[in-house]
Amino acid sequence: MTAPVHTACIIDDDITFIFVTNHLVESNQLSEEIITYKNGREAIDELKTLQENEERFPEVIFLDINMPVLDGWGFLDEIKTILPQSVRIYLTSSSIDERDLDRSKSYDEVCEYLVKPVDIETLTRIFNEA
Amino acid sequence: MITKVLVSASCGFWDRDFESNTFFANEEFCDFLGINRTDLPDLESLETLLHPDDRIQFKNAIEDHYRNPDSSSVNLNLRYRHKSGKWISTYFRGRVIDRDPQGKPLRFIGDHVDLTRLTNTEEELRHRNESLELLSEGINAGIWEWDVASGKTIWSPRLFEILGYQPYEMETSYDLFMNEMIHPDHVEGLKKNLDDYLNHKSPYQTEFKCLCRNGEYRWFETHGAARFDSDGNAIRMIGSLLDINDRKQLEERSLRSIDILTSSNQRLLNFAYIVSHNLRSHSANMLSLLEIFQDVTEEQKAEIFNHLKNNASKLLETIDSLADVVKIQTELDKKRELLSLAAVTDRVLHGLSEAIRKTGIEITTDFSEIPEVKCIPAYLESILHNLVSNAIKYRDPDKNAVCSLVTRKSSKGCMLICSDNGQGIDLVQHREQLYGLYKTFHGNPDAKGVGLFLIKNQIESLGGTIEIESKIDEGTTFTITLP
Repeated sequence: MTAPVHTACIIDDDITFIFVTNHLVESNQLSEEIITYKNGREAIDELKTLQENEERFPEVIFLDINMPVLDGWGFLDEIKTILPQSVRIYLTSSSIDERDLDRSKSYDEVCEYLVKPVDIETLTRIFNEA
Repeated sequence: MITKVLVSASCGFWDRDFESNTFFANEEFCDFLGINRTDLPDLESLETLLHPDDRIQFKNAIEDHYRNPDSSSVNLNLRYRHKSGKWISTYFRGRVIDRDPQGKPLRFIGDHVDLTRLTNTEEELRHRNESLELLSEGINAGIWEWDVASGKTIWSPRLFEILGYQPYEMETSYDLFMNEMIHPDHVEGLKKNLDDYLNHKSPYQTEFKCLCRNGEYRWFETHGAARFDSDGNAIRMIGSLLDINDRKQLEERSLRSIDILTSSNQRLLNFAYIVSHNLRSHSANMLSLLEIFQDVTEEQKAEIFNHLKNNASKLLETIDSLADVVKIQTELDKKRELLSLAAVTDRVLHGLSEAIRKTGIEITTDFSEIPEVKCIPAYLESILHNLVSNAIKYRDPDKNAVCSLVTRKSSKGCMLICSDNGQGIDLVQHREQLYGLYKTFHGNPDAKGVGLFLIKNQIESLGGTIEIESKIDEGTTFTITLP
């Protein structure tokens, strides 16, 4: 059975979150490939390179809000120009602060605001929606 | 004819004929007194209606006039009691109009003019004046009067006193007040307020600073009202001046308190946000790790275990950092001492000696301008520690790292300047977030993001400020000002 998504991307500085999500996605065969970046700056630089080389752009991106160097908001502001239409971005955060929720609504690229921990049910739903 | 003339100007007269010994009071007079003619058969009966204080005066005046043919008339203010009981005032004019060859009076006519209204008005005026004086005393305000055309002003004694002068110490005028006494910043505002009033747009009331005799400016409040002529132009204006300096200072203190409280509240909110975020993230991680624990291989279990350890210790770290932040508040109650900067710096450098040795960073100090500062010991140590360890952490590995600590005098107090030649911070990007808890900029795993937040709070709690200048690859300079 092929996975519903070919390439998923996790942008997060939390190695535990990356480890757990990686494990869940792999063991449930939700995506063929997973690429990870540890902050917004690294992600922008690498994704831009991907695009230029006409390599496969991830279809699903899990984007953490709180990261050093360039945070989730900073990433969203910069990626607007190069983001392909079909890419679905899911904002993740340990925060339940309404201000963050409200701010996420101002970005059209953001499909959903996910509060960590993200369980397997949610992941399954998301990957099948993509 | 005499009757006709008298009647038109008077409120009643009486006529006494000595020869026939008759007494006649006219209808109008009787109506004025509220009685019937039959109640006034003679002069004596009229006299009973006189105010006791006026009776003797009347009798004497009349007798004098009878005996003295050269006196022209009797002119008196007389008060009568009206039938209803109220007192009415009259102006009495009486004359002997006919005498015999020996000068004995034959006929006397006395006439009255109603003064009641006039007297009442007088009484009212006196009452009002008294009220006004009492009022100005009671409200402790000075009263001013302005004659618009001439520009002259009259000040009440209290007004002079309020401004620190002796009553009537000098000539006063509109120009003197506007050009020499009102604080320059407030002249325009006051003139506008006055203009608006004179053009009937709004009441005249305004606050302003005014120069007092001792050279000090104090806050005053003024109100006023004008009398206008038929074209709507003001002729004269009267108003009050009240010293509100104490009230104004209280206001300013309250506003400052509100500012402090607002920023304090903001810090508290941020703190709550950070608490919820960081504690949640570590706890959530631990939960999700435990959830996948069952279905994994032995190898993976070991990895999970490591992650668990990692998160557990990070959780503890977070709680400790937050405890540090909370401690700021309790430390604030500790007393400020005069501290030697050299001594505290020595202690701090000793504590960081391992890191200083390893990195080879050179720390120089120059506290010659201000060797000592009054501060809370724990704060000063924390500030110096954080500044130096930041310089160490963010040193440029390609350079000989240098960090200098210097004190300088400034108008606001003592400036503590810490400069290094390290990596620098991109202020354009990060200035806003600089002091937010847990914001780090270099991807540096050691940067826990608490340091700057902590010392900023400590500095501000002391009433000081912290500023930063930085250039990428050149270095960073922190300037801390303590009062």
